[in-house]
Amino acid sequence: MTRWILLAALCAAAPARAETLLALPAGAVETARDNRAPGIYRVPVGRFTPRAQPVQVTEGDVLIRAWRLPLDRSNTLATARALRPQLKAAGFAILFECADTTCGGFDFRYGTEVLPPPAMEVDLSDFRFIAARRGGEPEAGYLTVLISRAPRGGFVQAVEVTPITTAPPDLEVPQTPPPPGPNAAGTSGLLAPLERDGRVVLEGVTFAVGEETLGPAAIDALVPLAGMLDANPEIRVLLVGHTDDEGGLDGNLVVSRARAQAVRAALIETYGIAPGRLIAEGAGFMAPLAANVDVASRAANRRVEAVLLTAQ
Amino acid sequence: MDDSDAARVFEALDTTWPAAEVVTRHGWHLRRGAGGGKRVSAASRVAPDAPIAPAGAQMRAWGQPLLFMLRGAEAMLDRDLATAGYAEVDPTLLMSAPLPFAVVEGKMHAIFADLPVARMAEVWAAGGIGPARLSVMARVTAPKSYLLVRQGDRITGLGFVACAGSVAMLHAVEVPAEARRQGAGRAVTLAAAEWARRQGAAQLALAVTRANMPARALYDGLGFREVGHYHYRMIDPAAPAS
Repeated sequence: MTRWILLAALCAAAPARAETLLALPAGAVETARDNRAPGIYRVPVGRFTPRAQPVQVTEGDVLIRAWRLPLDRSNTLATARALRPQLKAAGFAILFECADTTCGGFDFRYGTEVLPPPAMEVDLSDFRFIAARRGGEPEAGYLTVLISRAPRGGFVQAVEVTPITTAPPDLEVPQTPPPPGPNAAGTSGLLAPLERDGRVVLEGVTFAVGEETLGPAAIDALVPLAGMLDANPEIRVLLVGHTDDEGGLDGNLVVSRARAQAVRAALIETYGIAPGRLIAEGAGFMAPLAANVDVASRAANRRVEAVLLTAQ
Repeated sequence: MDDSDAARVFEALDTTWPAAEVVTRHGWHLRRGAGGGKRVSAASRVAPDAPIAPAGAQMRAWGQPLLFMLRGAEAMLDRDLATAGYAEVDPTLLMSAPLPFAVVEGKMHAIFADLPVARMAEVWAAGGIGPARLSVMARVTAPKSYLLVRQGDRITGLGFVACAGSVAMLHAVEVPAEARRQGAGRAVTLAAAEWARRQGAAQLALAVTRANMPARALYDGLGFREVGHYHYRMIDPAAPAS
């Protein structure tokens, strides 16, 4: 005679929740436990046909558990017969029940959520499925059981959806984001300002006083420009370096050109942009963004801009 | 960046690039990777205070390197692992773009296959995507497609895309060295976007290492934006034991 044991919740770290305890053949071992809270589960409620898998889409706290049973206690019908009264005792009414071919055969699994092996192994010629519901909508709970016999033993997977009755905390009405432009997906963000203004300041490409090289953060900040060039192979740009007004013009022209050349080199070497599409020049302190009156405005003036080149 | 966006993409990552086995135990998702790479072999924490040691024991029992995936802001765990001698590896960005794309391609022809043909496996293998990673793709039970982009009779790009609910994910993008800088990566991404759109997905997501600047430029240029990030901490098996 097969012995039965009650499997208590094994995962002490899991938060307290309503979980239907299922008695399984002795020797059953939990192979998986996954909790999605909140989550969506499509409860199969009918036979799979090539056209569709009838499902009831449910929302709630989704708990997926699986167990492996000893091979000598893996008869799927015996397990199904033992689980049916347990479901009823827990208040569930059976919505749909099927066995391998009556489930719709091999393809049933495509419409069904099944954990990957070896947590759950399904022999497609020997499995049973039960879907059950407790309570009425909109606060119904669902429990489905998939039972199978595989070469390594029996497997049971239970998916339980518990309705979430408490309101999620800390809700607020978010500010409406600006509507995406017609080219929101599939194009780069820098193209529009470059075409509108003819130039863009390269955000995040910053230099200390007198510095001519790019740090890792500045190279990272070239992603939008490189992305725009990557997405628009016909576009060429002039990179223009700028300085603050500390020192003479000749020296600053040299420094500003070196800054533009550092950006050009990074675009070529790090991002693989074709050299022929990039020209580097320097404007010294001849075109400031702001009056050089304090530390912040001087820092803002030490920059590189990209200018759209339209002549062939 | 919105936490729920990141959570959705992390969930899609698990569904569309699955481990051979995921055991949830001791407050961890423990992945048996079967040689399929870090993403399918790393442990990630699900219970906030789960101790490190039991996770390490399971990985050792599987004969895997001790490898943890840190998703977003897990600063305490990250510090604990660093203190325990785990080195940071492969900082990676999760990027996503809404569907449909405004641009559709172009000059390179894309083929959508249900199974990888032998020639695809060869090109992937040459790029370091070997049989164990093909097994990862084979394990995916969600809707999926093997993408091949060609120019004439030459394979110029490969990819693998699968759909987890509203999120489709692109994986295993491979452009043979001789086909680079000609728009093949772009064509693979656009083919994936087109496939995902037909599946009814609302977004196409992917993971790209932070250091892969050409790929990041490509994806940024196509409208992908960062929705999350992760990195690994691992004990280098080659390092001398202390």
